[in-house]
Amino acid sequence: MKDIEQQLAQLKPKPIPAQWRKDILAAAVDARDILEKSRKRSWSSRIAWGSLAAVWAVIISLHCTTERTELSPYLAKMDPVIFQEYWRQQQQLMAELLAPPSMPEFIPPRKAPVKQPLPATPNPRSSDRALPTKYPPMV
Amino acid sequence: MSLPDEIARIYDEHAQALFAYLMTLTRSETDTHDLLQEVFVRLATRERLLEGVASERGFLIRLAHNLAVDAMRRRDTRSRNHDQFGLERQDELATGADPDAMTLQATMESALNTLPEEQRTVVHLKTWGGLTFEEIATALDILPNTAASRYRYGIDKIREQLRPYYNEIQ
Repeated sequence: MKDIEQQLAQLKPKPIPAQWRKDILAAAVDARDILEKSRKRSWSSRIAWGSLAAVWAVIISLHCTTERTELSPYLAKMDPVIFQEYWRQQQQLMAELLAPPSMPEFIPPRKAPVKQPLPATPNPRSSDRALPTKYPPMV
Repeated sequence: MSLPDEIARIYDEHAQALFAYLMTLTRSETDTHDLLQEVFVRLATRERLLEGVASERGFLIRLAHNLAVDAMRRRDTRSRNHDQFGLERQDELATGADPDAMTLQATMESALNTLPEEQRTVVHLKTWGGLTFEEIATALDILPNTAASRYRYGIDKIREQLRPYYNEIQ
């Protein structure tokens, strides 16, 4: 029996269909082109988003660095004493608004007066009771 | 060398081995075509995929193997393929004109089909893929000793199955 490994090696695998080469290479090149196009597109959109972010960064930095020191014209014209009073009232109002809601004081309900129970001692027997005199006693 | 030329070179050098290997795994020309195309699409879209690779063929076999396993898992056909293992005749080998050679080929193919998948792939890669055991081990993510023992077990089983055929000839 010839060595089986040699026998196997003599057999040739089925050849790959010739048409596949064109198909597969074309598909690979197409995939490559699609990837490059999407890369270019994502790069251009990246530039757009980057510039937009830069503009926003400039706006925010300007906003943070500029301090607001001037009062509104209405407040600037106000007398300092009146302004101080106005300011105190505003603070108080703000404190009231921000304070936690206070609960009303608890008032226990008023109890009705308790009636005293009737005395447990029985009344005197009727025989012992003094008869009411309707008429004055006879003399 | 431009990328299309490089891809064409890789195709010319390795496509036949990849085709034979994928046919062994999938037993379907359609699946083999899809997987082979996927291999080359990956090569085209990831330029540096082969950079620093010691064995191009080993790497490509591994890539094809992983893609095939993923595809089979996705489609839940792996178990079906295993159930049909050895029952269907696959045309993985080229047909010859000599009747004796054709008979021998059919017998060998039948014997090859009865091998478990892991032995069959190693026998295939060693016999027709032209890979060393080290390259097979790298491609299949197994130890070289495991690859060698699977090959040996596979060859022994084929030899055992072909014994009646040779006895008949003698």
